[in-house]
Amino acid sequence: MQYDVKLIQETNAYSCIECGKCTGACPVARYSSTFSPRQILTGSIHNSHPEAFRKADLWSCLTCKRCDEVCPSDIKYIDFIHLIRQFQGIENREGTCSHGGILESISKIMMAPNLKQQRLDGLNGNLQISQNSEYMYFMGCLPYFEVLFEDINVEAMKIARNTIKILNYFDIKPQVLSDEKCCGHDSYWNGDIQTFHKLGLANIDQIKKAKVKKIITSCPECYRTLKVDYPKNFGRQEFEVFHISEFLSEIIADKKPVLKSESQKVTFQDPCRLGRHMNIYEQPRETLRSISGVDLVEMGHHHKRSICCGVSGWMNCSQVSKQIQANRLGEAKATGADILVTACVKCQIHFNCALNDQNLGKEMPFQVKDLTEVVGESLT
Amino acid sequence: MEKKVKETTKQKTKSKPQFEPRIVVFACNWCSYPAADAAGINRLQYPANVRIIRVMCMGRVDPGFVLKALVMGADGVLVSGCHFEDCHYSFGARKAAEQYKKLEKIVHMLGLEKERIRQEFISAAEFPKFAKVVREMVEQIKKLGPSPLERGALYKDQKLESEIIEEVAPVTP
Amino acid sequence: MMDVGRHPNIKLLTYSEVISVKGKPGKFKVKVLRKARFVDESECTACGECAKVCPILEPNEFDEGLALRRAIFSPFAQAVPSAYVRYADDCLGTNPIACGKCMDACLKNCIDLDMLDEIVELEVGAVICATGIDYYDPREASEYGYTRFQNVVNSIELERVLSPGGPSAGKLLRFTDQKEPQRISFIQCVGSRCIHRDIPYCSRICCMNAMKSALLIREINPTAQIDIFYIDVRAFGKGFEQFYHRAMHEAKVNFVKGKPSRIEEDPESGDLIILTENVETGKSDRIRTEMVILSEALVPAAGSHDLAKVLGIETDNRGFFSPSDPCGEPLSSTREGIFLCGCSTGPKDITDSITEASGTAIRAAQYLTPYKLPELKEEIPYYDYSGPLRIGVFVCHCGSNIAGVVDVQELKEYATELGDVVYSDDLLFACSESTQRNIQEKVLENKLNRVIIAACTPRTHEPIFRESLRKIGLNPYLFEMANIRDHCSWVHQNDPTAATHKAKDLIRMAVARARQLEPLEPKEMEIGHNVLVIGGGISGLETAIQLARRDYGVFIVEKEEHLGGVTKQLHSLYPSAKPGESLIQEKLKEVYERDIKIFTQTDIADISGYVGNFKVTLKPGDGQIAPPPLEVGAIVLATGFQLYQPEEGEYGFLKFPNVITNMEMEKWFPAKEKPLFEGKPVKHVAYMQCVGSRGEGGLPECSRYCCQAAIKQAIDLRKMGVRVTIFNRDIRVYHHEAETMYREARERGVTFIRFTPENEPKLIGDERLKAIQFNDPTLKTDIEIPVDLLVLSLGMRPAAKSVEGIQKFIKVPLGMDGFLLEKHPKFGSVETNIQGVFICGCVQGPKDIADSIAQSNAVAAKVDALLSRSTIWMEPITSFVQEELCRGCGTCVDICEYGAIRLKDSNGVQVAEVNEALCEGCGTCSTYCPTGAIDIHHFRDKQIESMLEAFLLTERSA
Ligand code: SF4
Ligand code: SF4
Ligand code: FES
Repeated sequence: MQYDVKLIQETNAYSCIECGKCTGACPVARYSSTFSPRQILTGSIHNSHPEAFRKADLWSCLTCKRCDEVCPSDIKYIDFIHLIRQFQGIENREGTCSHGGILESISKIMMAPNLKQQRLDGLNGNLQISQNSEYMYFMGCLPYFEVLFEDINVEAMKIARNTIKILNYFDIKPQVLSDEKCCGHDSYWNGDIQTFHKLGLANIDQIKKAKVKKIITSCPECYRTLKVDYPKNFGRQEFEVFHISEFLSEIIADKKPVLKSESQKVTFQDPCRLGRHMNIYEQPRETLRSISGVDLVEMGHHHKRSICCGVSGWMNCSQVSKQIQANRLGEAKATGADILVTACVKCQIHFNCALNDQNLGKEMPFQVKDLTEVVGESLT
Repeated sequence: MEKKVKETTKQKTKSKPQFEPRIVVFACNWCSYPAADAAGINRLQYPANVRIIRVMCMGRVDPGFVLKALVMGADGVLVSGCHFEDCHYSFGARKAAEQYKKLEKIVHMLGLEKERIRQEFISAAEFPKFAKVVREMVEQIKKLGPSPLERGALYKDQKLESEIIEEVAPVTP
Repeated sequence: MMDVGRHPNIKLLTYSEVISVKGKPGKFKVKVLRKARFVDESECTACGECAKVCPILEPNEFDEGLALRRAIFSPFAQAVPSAYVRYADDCLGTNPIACGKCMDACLKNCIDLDMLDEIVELEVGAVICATGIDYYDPREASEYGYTRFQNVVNSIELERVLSPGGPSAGKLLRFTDQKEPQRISFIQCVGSRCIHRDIPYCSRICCMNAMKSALLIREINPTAQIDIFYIDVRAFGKGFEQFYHRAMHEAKVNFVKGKPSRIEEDPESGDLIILTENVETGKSDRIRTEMVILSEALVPAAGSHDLAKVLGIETDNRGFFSPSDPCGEPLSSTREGIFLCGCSTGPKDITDSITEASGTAIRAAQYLTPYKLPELKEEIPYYDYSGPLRIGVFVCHCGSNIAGVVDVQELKEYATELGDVVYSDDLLFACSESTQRNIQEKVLENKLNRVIIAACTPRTHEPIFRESLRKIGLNPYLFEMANIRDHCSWVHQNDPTAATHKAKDLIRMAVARARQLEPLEPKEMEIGHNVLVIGGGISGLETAIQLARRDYGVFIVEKEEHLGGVTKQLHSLYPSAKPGESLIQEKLKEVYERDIKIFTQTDIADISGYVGNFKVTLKPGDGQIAPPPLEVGAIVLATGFQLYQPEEGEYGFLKFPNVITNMEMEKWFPAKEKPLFEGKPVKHVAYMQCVGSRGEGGLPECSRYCCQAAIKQAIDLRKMGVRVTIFNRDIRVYHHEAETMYREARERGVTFIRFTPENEPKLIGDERLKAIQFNDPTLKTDIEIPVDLLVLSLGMRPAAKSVEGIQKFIKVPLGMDGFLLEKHPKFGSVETNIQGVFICGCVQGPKDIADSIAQSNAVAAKVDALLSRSTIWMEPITSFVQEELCRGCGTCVDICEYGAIRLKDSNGVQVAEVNEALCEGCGTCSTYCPTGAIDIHHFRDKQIESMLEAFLLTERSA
């Protein structure tokens, strides 16, 4: 794609006053000596200096939106990064795909129109789904994560099972697409807009056919993508999108169910896409607080100042990622919590990967669990 | 003689609309690659649909390579190496088998036919097995037809379909 | 074979005979008769054009006459030298009608029908006899009807038939009706263990061989029923017992104890009727089967007697060469400077033969002058291969091997259309000397910095081409081959279009990969010339001596107070009856003379480093001062075994005072005329075999030494007039002379009682053991015999403690049986996964003394081969870590069983670090790395992916 000045202007990038506040707030820059959001920005808008920043760094940005929060010129930095990556094109990408590029290939294969996935095998037990509910549970790539990350003790499908269990508890038998495609989040943010479009259209088509009104996701990335990026790219849509924490906080306030657990101290990790991207901070916290026995404590950085789990889009996982994770896990440890709750499967994968490290794992006296798991276990 | 070959070449290409699968073979340097060599030495004939990529050990074959080959439109991928106890590096083949299990699950989930990928343990002495496996695989894949992944069209940067762009209507979140 | 053929220090004289050996060790003069092969070995490329036109058909010796060959031929597919050979007697050329068709067919003109036999004189330091074995002719055992009945075949015919490359392409068919037999019976010991056939010994390999064939047959035909008729099942090697269990349970082989006395044929169906007594049931059976395989004996190679005369060495009466001392010097002949290995001294399997072969290498090396070969230095000109890509593609015709199928001209033109290719050419034979020079010139002329040769397989030819490029200064890793012969023209002979097409793809892929190639430099590493031997038993001592003879500095570390291990405690050794102590004394004498440094009562505190440069810290016993750390180039683990410790009450162990172990028994010898045990006269001794061996499912395995050890003791006891009964499960005396010993024991009146684990003998007695009751397998009744002393033959178990101690520092993997795992069960029985770390003796698995000594020699040879240079070149194809991507997760550290990766601290974070000296370059770590931080030189992700792209994303060439 061509470098399009107009689109860049929309992100306010040209109003950068080169103050460097973003670099100061950036979790990547904290551990990487070369990485600087400001340099990437100025480097890429001053087209004449293509070498102004290390190209590989462009793919290290977590698009965690921490810089946006501090920018005095109100630059939509992450949109800017998205555009620049898109202009570079994936052929010129200099980032390194983590996990041998498997996840990227998976989403590409899903584009093939005449392939029908077999992704629901993990939904056994007495979970109830239906064909005609007005609710749909959009599962995301959990079945694939289940296979890929079992080695690091991540049981990804547990999230799906717990989500459905919760919905069932409130008498909802959601529809689940048997051929749900990847939402396209990673392709979108890695600048592979073609893949994003194909996947998105395929999903929208299926959702339309299912005639649902409300979509529930357990993944903040699907949530953002479906709620923001789909309408932006494919036009107005007939359905509403909720993250499970939104749904929970509302229905709990309404129905006041009895949620009980052993007494445990938990702390909450704000997933970037849920918090800073979508402004959902309180709903998961309210949900946790409504469980009797749960004592919610905050880490050093929380809400808007929360820190990312260290990797985004399965790209450039590195030493820096590990340090971000180690630091964040250290904050969690300092709270004295028994459980680090997150609402995003990727946070769980990334933290577990760090915990799987022999040295770091030993130091951390807590488990990482998904919000749905904590809630699922507390249902009476 | 040369001319003759050329002429027949032309004729054949014209009258051959038949589907010819494209199959990638990863073969380890110590067992399966030499098995393929020995198949040659013994002039065992097998269909010309495979291209062998040499790696030092089957353990080197990242599932990512196999998936990438599929994304690029390969009609089939064969991963071949030593029997466990023969692996030159003793643990490579075993590890490869572990990785392959994951790969199989993923390919199955994605809805691709399971026959499109295959793992085989072929020692240097088992060259007839190499030829046999290739023959079988070509036959099976011919039955399945071309890969649903459109000959790599998905991999390449192609133009956006124009309607999509027209449909775009800015909506603020 | 390939390695031998290619080795610069090995000159092959095939199709030749030794006619005299004169002179002294270190300076033998050997005359060799070279028979004419009529083909120039150095020029022949084994293209096979000559054989295609040869009008003669003769039975092929390699396939046991089951297939045909020409008068000019290559004996089998992988023959070395690969050059063809012409048998003058078969050829028409020497007859009045000169044929000479082959000469016209050979494009390289290497056939010379006038070649003459010649006599070559060689000056050598030592001679090694590895003359191998012949098969007993089963026609002599006429009761089995071999050659009278077509469906009776011998085991070597079966091998050829089962071979996928053999005459029937791996199908097993009956000769009479070409049907697949449903019942196949193996008869063991055909010829072997039979005095009147003059083969008193056990042929050692046949039990395992029959089981292996049985498993293979079941693979081809899963419903086939297989019987094996045997006298004893001798599954005595490492892993063999488990294999036996597989044969029993997986292949459902019906093992029948009993040697058939006769075979009859049903002339109508071609079926065979086996007449035998089933020794276990005691019934005579007539068993109808469809095919019989005779496991025929191994006999000395033809001409052994004559050769022995020429060499001036002794043989036994059968013609096997005699070692000077079968227990202490199994590899030396009776003439100094002449060594024996493999089946030349008696039947042996591949593992044992290879061990002995390596062992003789070190013995021979001790006679060589100069002691160590000088190292050559060479000048390499400077060549600038940096700068933009300039790829050159050379397409080889390989005579008509490639050009006959693939359109080489088209390929050559096609190559120039590919990006970055600046030069392309076609060559008649890319590998011939003159063409190599031509390629070198073309590279320099066109300033090529990547070279592709589209020809045959890199497995054989990459080293050759790389070498020519290296000589002109081009980095050899910037070279790539496209295999358009073995993988293309040869296998698509009937489809030239498709083949040409494929060849284009292969070239395009090679070009794509070549673009991504990076120059690599092999690293030269200094290596130390000291060796550490851990363990001072017989294996350790022997290894140390052999190495010290080659002038290496040797250290022995022993945790006990004294050297000599278990051997020292043995009162006599079979078959020489020499006391163990005196063997150890002999060895120790040389150990002291050769100034070998000994650390007794010492443990290992730490081992670090890698091949050529290990650093070992010692932990001395109490009160001793720690010596400075040792710097050694190689480490030999010879920590031995541990005897099985029976549980209390197991066969009366610790319950009855008169139940002792076989080691205690050794110490009890030499007894007086009237043997007493604890003051009481001993009249009847019983042995219980396999205590702690041959367990459920084949683990633990057979301990290999105990049958012969018990028999040795039994004979000594009989000499004192004591009655001896040996309770056994099978008598596994496999050594060449041990069978004779077994016979002697029987002749002297030792009773052997066979039992099965389900039917164990019972011990009777209150305070002391009084009697043993057993169910007599023949009489089928319970019999009680009085016993004064019961000896338990304890199995060998891994010395768990010392093994664990070592594993802390070096990751040598353990096998399922708990013994250290060798690199390869056959070809690398003394090497481990880790370069520079070797194993020998009973750490690797149960063994007797002769086998341990042979293995110690082998290990010394391997160490010598490694350390005989001042430096070693490290293959640059290793993994490497891109540090900024590494998250220090340690996944790779766990994956790599070579222990090549460890985590290091880099500015406060952990990152992986590859020890290139340990990395073997398999690449497994990189497929597990979550981030892609670790990659393999020369097989990098991008290099492999570029080939995929070139194949799949480029539209098929028009
Ligand atoms: S390439 Fe193989 S040997 Fe080398 S470090 Fe990796 S796993 Fe170990
Ligand atoms: S597996 Fe990869 S990221 Fe983990 S320690 Fe090894 S090189 Fe580093
Ligand atoms: S070397 Fe062949 S699979 Fe490892």
